[in-house]
Amino acid sequence: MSSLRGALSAGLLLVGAVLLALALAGTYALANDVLLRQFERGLFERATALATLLEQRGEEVELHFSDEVLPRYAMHERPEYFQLWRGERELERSVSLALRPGASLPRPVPAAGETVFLELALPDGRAGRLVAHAFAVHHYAADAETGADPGPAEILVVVAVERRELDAAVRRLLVGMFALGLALLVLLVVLGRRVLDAGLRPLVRLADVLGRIERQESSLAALQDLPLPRELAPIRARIAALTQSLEDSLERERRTSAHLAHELRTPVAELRATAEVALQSPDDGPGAQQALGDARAIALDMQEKIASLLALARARAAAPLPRETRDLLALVRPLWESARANAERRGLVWSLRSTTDLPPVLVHAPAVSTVLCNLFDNAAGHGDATHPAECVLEADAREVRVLVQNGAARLTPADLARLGEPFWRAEGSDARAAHSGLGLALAAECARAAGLTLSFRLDSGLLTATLAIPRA
Amino acid sequence: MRILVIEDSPRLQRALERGLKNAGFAVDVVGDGELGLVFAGRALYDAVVLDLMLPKLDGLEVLARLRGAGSEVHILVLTARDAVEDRVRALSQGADDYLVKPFAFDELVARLRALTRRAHGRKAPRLTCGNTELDTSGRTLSVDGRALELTRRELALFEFLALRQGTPVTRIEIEDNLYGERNLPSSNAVESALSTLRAKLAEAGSTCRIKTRHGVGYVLEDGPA
Repeated sequence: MSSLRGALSAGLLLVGAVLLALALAGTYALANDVLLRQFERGLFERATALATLLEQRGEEVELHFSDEVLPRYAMHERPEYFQLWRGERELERSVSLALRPGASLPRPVPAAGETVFLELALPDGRAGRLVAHAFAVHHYAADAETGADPGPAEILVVVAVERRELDAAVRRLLVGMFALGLALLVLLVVLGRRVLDAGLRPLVRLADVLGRIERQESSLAALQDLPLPRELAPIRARIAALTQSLEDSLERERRTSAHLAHELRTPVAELRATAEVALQSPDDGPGAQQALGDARAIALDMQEKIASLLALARARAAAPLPRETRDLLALVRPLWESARANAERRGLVWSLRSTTDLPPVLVHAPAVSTVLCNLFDNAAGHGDATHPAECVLEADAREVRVLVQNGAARLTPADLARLGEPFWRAEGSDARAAHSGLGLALAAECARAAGLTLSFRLDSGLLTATLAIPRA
Repeated sequence: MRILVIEDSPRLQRALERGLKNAGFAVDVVGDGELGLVFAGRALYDAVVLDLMLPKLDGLEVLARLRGAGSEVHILVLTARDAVEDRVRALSQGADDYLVKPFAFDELVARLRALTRRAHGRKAPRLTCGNTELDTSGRTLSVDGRALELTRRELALFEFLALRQGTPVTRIEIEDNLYGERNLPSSNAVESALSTLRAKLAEAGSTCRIKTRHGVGYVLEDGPA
C-alpha cells in the first residue's frame, strides 16, 4: 500500500536535493568567477606595475626594472614570467624566461583598451594563466635633441603566473560546497521529516478518530470536536453527514426489525395458543376443526404480511418506472369507492372532489394505483371522525395533486417523519388487526419509484397526504 | 374462578376462552377497551387478562382507570410489547403480572392460578380441608392421599369453596364464578353440582363437608355433617 508520508518524503527530498544542487552549483559558479576575477585582477596589477616601469624618451622606450625590486621574475623554483612587445619586436623579457632558451610566452593581440587572459602551460611546465594588455608608455613631451614628439609608444605587456593558488582556492570552494550540500541534505531529511510529521498530524488524528468511530454518539462528537485545518474540514463534514445518514438508516432498519418482530408476536401467540388448547382436548372434534380454521386464517394473515414486505422490498429496489398519459380521475374514483365501505363502517364521512377540467397526467398506472390504494386504505382504516375524510384533485400549470385528508387527532407533528416507516403506528392506534402496517411505507416507496412526490402535513388534527403528479 | 379476558384478536379470544375453560375457569371475553372497562368494573372477576393494544381504549388506560376507581381485581397484562419500559409502565400503573406474547398456555394458567390464590391470601398451591387436599396446579383432589375423580366443574366448585373455607357463599356467587356470561346455568344447576360433589366426597371418606346455611348460602368446613 502506498504511503502518503513516503510519497511526500521522497518528493520533498527529491525537490529539495535538486534545488540544493542548483543553488550550490550557482553559488560555486559565482564564487569561482569571483576568485578568477580576483586572480586576474592581481595578474593585471602585475602587468600594470611593469608598465609603470616603462619610460619613453623620444622613440626610445626603456624598462627600469631590476630583479631586486621584483624578485618574483628572477630565476628560482617557482618564478613568474613576463615578456614586453613593441609591435612585432620583443622589447624585454623576465630573467626567468630569458634563462630558458627558446622559451617564449604566447603573444595574443588584444583590441585597443582590452585585456586578454589565457590559460597556458608555463615554460617550466606548471599550469598558469596569462594576461596581455597594451599600455601607452609614459613619455616626455619632446625629444631633447631633435625636438620631435613621436607620441606615446604602445607596449604589449604579457605576464604569466602559475595558477596553483587559484586552483587550490577553487578546490577548497568545491570541497566546502560539497560538504555544505551534504549537511544541508541531511538537514533537509531531518527537518523535512519533522515538517511532514507536523503537517500530517491533523490527517493522522482524523484517521485515528475515524478508526475509533463506533455507534456511540461520543465517537461522532469526538470527530466534530477534532481541530482540523481548513482543507480537511469538508472531509470531516462529509464523513459526519454520511455517518449520520448511515446511523439514521440503521436506526430505521432496527425499528423495522423490532416492529416486524412485534407484528409477528400476535399471530404467533394466536397460533401457539390455538394449538396448545387444541392439544388439551384431542377428542374435541368441533374444537379441533375451529382450531384448524383459525390456524389457516393466521397463516393467511402472515402470508399477506410477507407479501407486503416483499412488495416493499421490490419497490425499494425498483428502477425508475416508465410513465404514460392517463386520466387521473378514472384511476382515483374506483380506488376511492373501494375503500368507502370500510370508512363508512367506521363512521367516517367519505367524499371525493375534483376540479372539472382536470388535465391528464403522466404516470406509471400500477404504481400510482398502489400509492393511492394505500393512502385511501390508510384514511379509511386510521382516520377518525373528528374530520370528514376527503379526496381532492386539483391542478396547476405544472402538476396535478391528489390530496387525501382525514382526521388524525392522535398524531403529533413529530409522527409525520415516521409515517412511511414500516409497521409504525401512532400511539394508541386501534387498527392492528385490520392492517399490515406497511401501507404508507409501500405508498412512499412506490411514489419514489414512479417519480412522484408524496408528502404529509398535519394541521390541527387534520392529516393531509399530498401526491404530486406531473401533467402530461 | 372467574376470569375476564380483554383481547381484540378474535382468534386469540377463542383460544383463551376455550383453554381457560378447560383449565376450570369461568371465562368472559370482550374485544375492546371500553367494554373491558365496564366488565372489569363489575367486581365479579378473580383476575383480568388484559391486552394493551386495544381498540377504543388503550389497555394501559383501562388499567389506570380501574385502579383510579379503586378496583382491586388482579390484572395480568398479556401483550406483544416486550420492552422493559412497557413492563415497568404497566406494573407501575397497577398490573399484577405481565406476560409477553407468544406465551405458553400452561404458563398463563399457572400465573392466573397464582393470582387467584393471592386474591384469597394464599400462596401454597395446595388447599386442604380436613383429610381432603386439592392440588390447584395439578388439578387433582385427594382424600387421605387417594385420588378422587372429579369433573372440571366439580373441581372448580371445590376450589371456589375451599378458597373461602368457613365463609358462606351464595348460590349467585357460585353461579358467577363457575359460569361465564355466555354460559348462564339453569336454576338448579348449582344445587345439582353441589349435591354430586357432596356425594363423591362422602363416598371417598372425606371429612370435609359442604354445609347449607339456610337463607345465607353454602360453606365448606371440616367436621361431621
